[in-house]
Amino acid sequence: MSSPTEPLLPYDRVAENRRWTWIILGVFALLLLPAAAYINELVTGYFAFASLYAGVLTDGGELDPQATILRGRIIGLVVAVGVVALVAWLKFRRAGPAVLKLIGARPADSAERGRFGRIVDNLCIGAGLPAPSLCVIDSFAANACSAGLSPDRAYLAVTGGLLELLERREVEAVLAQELAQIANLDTRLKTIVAALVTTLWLPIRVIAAVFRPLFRLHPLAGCLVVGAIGFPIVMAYGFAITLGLSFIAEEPGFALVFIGLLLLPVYVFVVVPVGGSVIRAALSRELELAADAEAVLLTRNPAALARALVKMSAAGPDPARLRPAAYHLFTLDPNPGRRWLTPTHPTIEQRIGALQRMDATISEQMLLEANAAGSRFRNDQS
Amino acid sequence: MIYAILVLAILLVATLEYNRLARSRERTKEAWSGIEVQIQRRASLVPELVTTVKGYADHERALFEEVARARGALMAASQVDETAAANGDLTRGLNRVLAVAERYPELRAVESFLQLQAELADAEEKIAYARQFFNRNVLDYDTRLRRFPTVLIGRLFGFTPLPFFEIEAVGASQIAWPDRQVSAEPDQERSEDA
Repeated sequence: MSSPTEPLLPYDRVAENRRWTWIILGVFALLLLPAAAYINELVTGYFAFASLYAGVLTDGGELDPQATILRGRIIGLVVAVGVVALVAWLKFRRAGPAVLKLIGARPADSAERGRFGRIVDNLCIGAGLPAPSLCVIDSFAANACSAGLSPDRAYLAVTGGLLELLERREVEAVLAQELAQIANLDTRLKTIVAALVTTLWLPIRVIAAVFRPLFRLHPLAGCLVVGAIGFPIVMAYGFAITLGLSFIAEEPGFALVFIGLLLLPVYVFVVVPVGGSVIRAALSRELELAADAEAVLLTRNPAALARALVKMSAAGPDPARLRPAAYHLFTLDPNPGRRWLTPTHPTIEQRIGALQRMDATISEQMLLEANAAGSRFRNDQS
Repeated sequence: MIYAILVLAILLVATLEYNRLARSRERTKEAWSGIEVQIQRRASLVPELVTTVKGYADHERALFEEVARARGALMAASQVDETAAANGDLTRGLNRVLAVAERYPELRAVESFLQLQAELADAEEKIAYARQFFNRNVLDYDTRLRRFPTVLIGRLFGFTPLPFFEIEAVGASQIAWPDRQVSAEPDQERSEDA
């Protein structure tokens, strides 16, 4: 990656993002492999049984078991790949609107459109983009976000707080940052990753949804029920795995399948979600710095972006709206409190530092004033 | 056999480079039409502005004629540098008209004038962005054209480097913002008058 001080054309990033999109989709397919294998086994078994049954009915059971199973495997493979592809297609086809729903965005009304629509139109001329659909998130945190699988059908969402807190040039700088990401396909990549992370976290969310009411009732009740259900399962697990290990010498094939099946929940509930989060964290920090640089290329106003970032950061997050799967889509980390786990953004200091290298007129005084304005805004809200 | 493969490889590279170059040139053409659209848009606002201001400051006839001339020159211009120069003239003229309007508080209270002023500022910003998009594409195209081996293909098929759309004819700063110009020009105007 070139350093932010060098001029930087979006075309190289487009190619890089295309490559990354395919890598991400590949990883997604890999993580779904066990599911595909399971479908494959199921179909093979069903087909073998059906052939046998049909054979019995027609010519009295003259059947080559090897050929039947082979045929079953091939059909199973086709079906499994088809199912995985269908799931991925259904998942990603409407990823843009799905992400908007995830972050609680709604289409902007005409008054809101008047406040930032024209800025977006003008920036789009500069970036050579079709105008995106404008959305608003009802939140007092100042932030912006883009979603969509292509620049032709992109969505640009801002929070109500952003429009209230920032001045025109600063809003322009933030919108330019998002538009730069739409143009260089960062947005597409991030939208796909968001859809992927929500999919991979689905099993955990389902389980959490079942137990959450209990914890809400009383934390102790929740702990008791989870313990009462969980303890026997954990014990049985230990027992079952020892059992599997004990007959690994006599029946290695069966024992391995047995242990593999036992480990499946670990895979679904631990490996897959953690894998998804790691991919997301690894991906987006670099993108954000590059997008800052491209935004400046568009507006030629690094100071406005620096002021905007400091103000937005000082205004703080909105604790009511935490949807982890879409954190990385925002201009500013919506929940800086948990960055030790899987950080999705560079720190605000890193970003301001990069902007200061582009424009020496960004003074400490200016940043302090912006910081104070952001803090005032937060105090007014609470 | 070796020679055949070599010739084929060269032909393949040449075709790819030619296509890239052609695509890049098409991009600059499209970007240029973007500038033209925005310039037309601003030019269409000029007569209305002149009519509005004329009602209050009829004695500035020379200035209004100058603006009309600049507008005519801009509409007639087709080359990049011509258009840039004419656009600069019109910008200067419009700024002087707006500076004249500054002297009539009753005019600044008229709703339609304020709207017109906002439209003009927006048009100017749109031109600035369109110019930037064009210049970025020209930069891409010109850089491509100067690189080896593309430079050979360019020579062979008559690709020529394109000029940037400069906002001032000489010594323009890279970061030239229309609103800065707007704020700078009326002051000069006032000092000239005083």
